[in-house]
Amino acid sequence: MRHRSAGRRFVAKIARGLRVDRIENEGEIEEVLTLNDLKVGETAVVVRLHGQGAVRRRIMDMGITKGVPVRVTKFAPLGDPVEINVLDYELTIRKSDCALVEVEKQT
Amino acid sequence: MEPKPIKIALAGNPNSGKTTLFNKLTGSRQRIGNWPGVTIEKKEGTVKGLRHVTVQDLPGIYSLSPYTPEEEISRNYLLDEKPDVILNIVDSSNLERNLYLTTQLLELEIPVVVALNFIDVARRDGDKIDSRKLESRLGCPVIETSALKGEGVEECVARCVRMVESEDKQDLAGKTATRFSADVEQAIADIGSVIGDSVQERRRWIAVKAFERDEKALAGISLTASQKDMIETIIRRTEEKFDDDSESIITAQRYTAIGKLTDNVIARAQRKDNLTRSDRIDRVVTHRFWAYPIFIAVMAALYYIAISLGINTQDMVDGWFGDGLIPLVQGWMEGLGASGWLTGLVTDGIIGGVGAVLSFVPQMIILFVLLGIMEDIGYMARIAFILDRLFRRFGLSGKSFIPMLIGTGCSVPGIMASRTIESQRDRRMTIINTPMIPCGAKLPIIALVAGAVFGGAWWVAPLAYFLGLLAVIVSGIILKKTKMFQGDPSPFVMELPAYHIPSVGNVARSTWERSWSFIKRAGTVILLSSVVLWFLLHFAVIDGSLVMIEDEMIADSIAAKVGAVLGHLFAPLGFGGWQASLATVTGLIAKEEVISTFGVIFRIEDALGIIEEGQYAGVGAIAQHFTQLSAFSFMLFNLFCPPCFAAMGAIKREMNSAKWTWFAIGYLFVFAYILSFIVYQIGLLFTGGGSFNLLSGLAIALLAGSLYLLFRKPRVGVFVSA
Repeated sequence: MRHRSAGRRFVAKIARGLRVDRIENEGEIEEVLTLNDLKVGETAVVVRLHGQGAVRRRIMDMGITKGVPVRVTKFAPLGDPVEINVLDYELTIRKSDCALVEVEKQT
Repeated sequence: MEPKPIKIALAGNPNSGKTTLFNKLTGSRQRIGNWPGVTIEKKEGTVKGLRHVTVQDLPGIYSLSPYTPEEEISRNYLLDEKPDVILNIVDSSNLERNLYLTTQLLELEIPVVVALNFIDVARRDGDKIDSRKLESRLGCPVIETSALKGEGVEECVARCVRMVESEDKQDLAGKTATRFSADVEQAIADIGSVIGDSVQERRRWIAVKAFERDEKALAGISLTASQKDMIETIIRRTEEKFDDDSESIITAQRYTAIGKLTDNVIARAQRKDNLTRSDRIDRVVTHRFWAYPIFIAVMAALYYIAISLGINTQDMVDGWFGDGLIPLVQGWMEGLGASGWLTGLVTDGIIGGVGAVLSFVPQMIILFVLLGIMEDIGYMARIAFILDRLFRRFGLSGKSFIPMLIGTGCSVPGIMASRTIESQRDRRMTIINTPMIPCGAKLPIIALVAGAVFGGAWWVAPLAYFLGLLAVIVSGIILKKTKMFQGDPSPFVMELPAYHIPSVGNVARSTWERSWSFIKRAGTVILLSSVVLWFLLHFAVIDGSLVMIEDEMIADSIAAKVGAVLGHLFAPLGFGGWQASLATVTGLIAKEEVISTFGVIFRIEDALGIIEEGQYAGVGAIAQHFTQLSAFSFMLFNLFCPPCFAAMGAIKREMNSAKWTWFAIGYLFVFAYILSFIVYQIGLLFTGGGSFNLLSGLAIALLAGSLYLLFRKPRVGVFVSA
C-alpha cells in the first residue's frame, strides 16, 4: 500500500476524477496549479504528480518529473489532448491526465 | 574452433531507429513471430558475416517499469534469458529521455553498448555531441551511428563482441549504475542489507525495485514478513523526508542524474525562430482549422489509391485465375482422365478458393506501402492526436480510424492495419468492430436489396453505410462498458515523433512482413474452408449413398440440408428458407458468394454481373423470395454477421489468441442476430403483417436490454476518460 495521508489521497482522487483546481488538503482549501491551467506557450515547473498506477508512472517515465520545466505547445483541434514540450521533445497527453500534474510558474 | 555463440539484445525507445539498425545488422536473416501470448512482434536474426552472433530485437520501450506488455516482455527477456550484451540504441536528438532507459539497463549487470543514433541529423543541424565525455560518464562504450546510412553499425557489433569476450565483468552494475542522492542511496543500501543473502545476483537492481515497491520484480524472491516490514519502514522514512512517494523519488532522481550526465555533453545549435522543421510542419498539419481538411484530403488520397488501384489489381488476379489458370488446369486434368469430382475440387474448390485470397494481395501490398510510408513519416501519431477526443467517446483510440477506413474496401487489410494501435485493449476493440463497416464485397448484397426489392430506392445504400457507422459506435460504447473492456483506461501518453523522410527499406520490409503473414495464415484458413464447403455444395446423400451432383441439383446437396436446418435459426429474422440460409453460409467464403449462390439456386446466369450492371429485372426471382422487411433484415444480418473466412483469418492472426478470436466471431454473430431480430419482429408489427406475439415481446425486451447496455453508467467510474 502506498503511504499517503488521507488528505493527499483525497487530492489525488479529486484531481483525477473531477479535474478541479481547488483542492482540499488536510482540511485546508488550497489553490493548486496543474498543467491544465497553463495557456499555450506558457512554461512551468513540475512540483508533484498526483494519482497512481500505470498512467502516472508512464507520465513520469516520459520525463515529467519533479523539477522539470514543461511548456504547453498546443491543444488538439478539439481542445483535447494537449501537446507538451518536455526535455526538448513533444509529448501528447489528455487533459484528464494533465490534471495529475501539479506545476508552479517560475517568477 | 567454432566461436562461442553470442546473443545481443537490441533495446531502445520507439522511434529511435531500432528497426533500421536491426535490419542493417541482420540483413535478411531474420525470424519473425509473436511473443507468446501477446501480439507484439518478436524478431531475431544473425549478424551479417558473423554467424555465431544473434540479435534479439526487443519491443520499443521507454522504461523497464512493469506496466505495459512491451515493458514486461523486455524486462523478462533481459532477466530470464540473460543475453550476453545489450545494444542500447539512443536517439541523439532526444538524449535525456532516451538515456532514462539506459540508466535502467545499466543496473541489470549485463554489459551495455550504447549506439548514439541519428548522429548525422544532429551534425546536419549543427548540434555538437561529445560522445567521449558521455562514454566516460556512463562507464560503457558509446558509438556514434547512423543506422540509415550504415555508419557505425559494424563498430557496434565489434564492441559488443569485445565486451562479451573481455574478462572484466566484475561488479558491472557497481561501476555503471546511476548514483542517487545520499538519502536515497542510504535507503537502498539499508534495503540491500535487509534482503541480504536472499538474492545472489543483481542486488542493487533488486534493492532499487524493492524501494519502488515493484511487486512483479520481487515476485521470485522469498522474503519473510519481518523483512518486508523492515523494508517498508525504510521506504516510509525516506518518503517522509522527500514528501513524495518512492516511485516518484527514483524517477525524478534518475532524470536529475541524467541532467548531470549530459551537462556539457550536448551543445545544441541555435535555431532560427526556435522552431524545428517538425514544428513548422505540425503548425499546419495539426492546425485548429486546417487539421481536418488536411486529414480528409490525405485519407481521400489513401482511400482512392488503395481501393481504386486495388480493385483493378483484384480483378486482374481474379482474371488470371478465372480465365487463365482454372480452364488450363481443368483441361489438363480432363485430358489426363481425372474424375469429374477431383477436377471440380481442384479447380473450383482449391484454385478458386486460393485465388479468392490471392486476389486481395496486390490491394494489400498497395495499402501496406501507403500505411508504411505514413507511419515512417510520423503522420500516424498526428492522426491519433487530432482524432483521440472523438474516438475516445465510443471506446476506441484515435488510431482506430485507419482500420475502419480501410475496412470500407476490405476488412482483411483493415483488421491488419489495427497493428499500429499500441494499446492491446484498443486494438482488440478495433479488430472486433472493423468488420461491421460494409466492405466492397457486401455492396452487391446492398445493391440487390436496394435495386430488386426496394425498386431502386436511393436511400437504402447510404442507410446501409450509416447503419454500419452507427453499429460501430453503438457496439463500441456497449463493449466499453462491459467487464472485459472496462478497467484501466488505456493511457494516451504518446510521443509526437519528429517527422522523418520515409526509408524505402523500412517501408518495403514492413510491407513484405505484413503481406506474407497474410498470405500464409489467412491462406490456410480459407483453403481448408473452401474445400469443405465445396464438398457440401457438390455432394448429396441420395438413397443412403454419397453422390456428386450437378449445379442444378443444389437443392439436394448436403449444404442445402444444412441450410434447411439453419433455416430454423434464421426464421425469426424473416428468412427461414434454405435458400437464404445457404446464401448466408456461403457468404462466409466471400460476401459476393451470397449473390452467386442465389444465382445458382434460382438458375440465374451471372447474377453478380447482372446486379453490378443494375439490371434488377433479371434477378426478380431472388427478390420474390423476400418481402421488403425480410430483405432488409437479411441485408442487416449479412452486413454485421461474422465476416468472410479471410477476415476471420486476419482476426485470428491479429488477436493471436483463440479465446479472443472466438469472442470476436461470436460477438459479431450475436450482435447481427439481435439487431435483425429486433428490426424484423418490431417491423412486422408496423407493416401490419403480424400481431403481437411472444417473438415481438422478446424483440421489445431485447431492444430494451440493448438500450440499457448502451446507456448504463460504466461500473467503475473513477477515471474520467471521455
